[in-house]
Amino acid sequence: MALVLNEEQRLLRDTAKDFLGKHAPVAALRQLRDAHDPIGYSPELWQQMAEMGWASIILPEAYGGLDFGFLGLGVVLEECGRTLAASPLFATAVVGASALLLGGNEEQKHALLPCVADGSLTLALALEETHHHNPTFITTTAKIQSEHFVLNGSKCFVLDGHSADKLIVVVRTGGTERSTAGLTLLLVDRDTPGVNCRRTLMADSRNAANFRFDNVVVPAENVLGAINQGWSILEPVLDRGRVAIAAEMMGSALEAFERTVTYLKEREQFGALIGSFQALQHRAAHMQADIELCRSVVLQALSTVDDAPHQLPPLASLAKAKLNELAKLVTNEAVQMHGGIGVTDALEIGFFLKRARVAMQIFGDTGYHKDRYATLSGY
Amino acid sequence: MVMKYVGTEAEKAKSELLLSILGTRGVGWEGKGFTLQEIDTLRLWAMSKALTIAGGSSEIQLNLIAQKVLELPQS
Repeated sequence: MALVLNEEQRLLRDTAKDFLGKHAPVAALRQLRDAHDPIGYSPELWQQMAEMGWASIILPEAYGGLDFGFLGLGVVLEECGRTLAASPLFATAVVGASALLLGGNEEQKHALLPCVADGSLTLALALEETHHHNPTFITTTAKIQSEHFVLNGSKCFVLDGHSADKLIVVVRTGGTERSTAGLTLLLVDRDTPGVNCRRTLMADSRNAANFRFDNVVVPAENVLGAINQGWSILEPVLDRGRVAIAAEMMGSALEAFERTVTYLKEREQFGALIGSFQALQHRAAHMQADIELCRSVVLQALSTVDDAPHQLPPLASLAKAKLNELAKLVTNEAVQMHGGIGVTDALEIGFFLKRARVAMQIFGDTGYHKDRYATLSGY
Repeated sequence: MVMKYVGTEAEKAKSELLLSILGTRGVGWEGKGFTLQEIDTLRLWAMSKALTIAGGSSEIQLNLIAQKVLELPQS
């Protein structure tokens, strides 16, 4: 198990850092927010990312992919986390691409994955139906009628929902209200009649939307995987997503922490640098220890996706739970240690604070993942 | 000193708890899709961060409690 980056991955990190610093700094997110940008990210930026291979980073070469695996992806996501770069990378290139890769038939993969790879197709997973992550609580129905499905129901917190070309909708075609059996994944064009989309403006100024489906007609061949067997695709897709968002959160936490340490070394109070106060030194040192632990957890989870995917579930929950806690601690401390200027919008620290709270909700909060980790460990 | 410290830290903890309970409904910033109460909860959470900084930060209050109440020696 690789817990250090190889030469290729280090190169990828340097390229990503350089590119994002120039084209997607935190100031770019501020600009998107202040301009009430209707898309919520820059399509030109996404096209450039695709040209560098980021949209296809986890895809095999057979589908036009870069085939760098999750360790490679993690490197890029961490850098995106550092600048809070808004892009379809997570929803399309991680979650959507994983769903197609793990669930799609050869025809679907050959038709769609090259479009993901070249940046021309964006995707969104329409999963959640309640305000807490609950991937088996699915009441959206799809009734089979000869050659097509008829969809009815609602979804919320659909990341990139309002901008994605296609949705992967988790529907119930059998089983009981909360059972893993009876779930089905359907590919639905976002502009299909009866798909009602409403963008939601979240604290992090990134993309999410709510959906209502009213008698939406979907061709039968749009099923991903087998009918009623969707859970066998959905669970590994969610775990890949959890690890990926943990990597992004790692980058955001590192950036907020490093900016705070820099501030402790610059800011004078009572005739001394505030970083010389032992009370603050201990708090900073405590965070450094947490960060090193979390870095190992994320690296292990990323390389498990590549090398031993059957061992992923507990490691994905461990990574998401740990990074949720780290994100909360570091952003709270960053604001407190920056003092009065930390709470102003003029400083970028607030952007990290607000992004952390949204990221903490993506694919499971701390409680969800501690509970899942305990259950998977036999408790 | 103790009141300021305990009161503002409790307010901050309460706001974090409310956000955890509300889940994805607790991170709405503006516009449709959230109730006014949900948006207010997030705005109050953001404001609560200033309470432990303004008017003598929590760190200053702890210094005062240590030095004035407990009469611990200064470093």
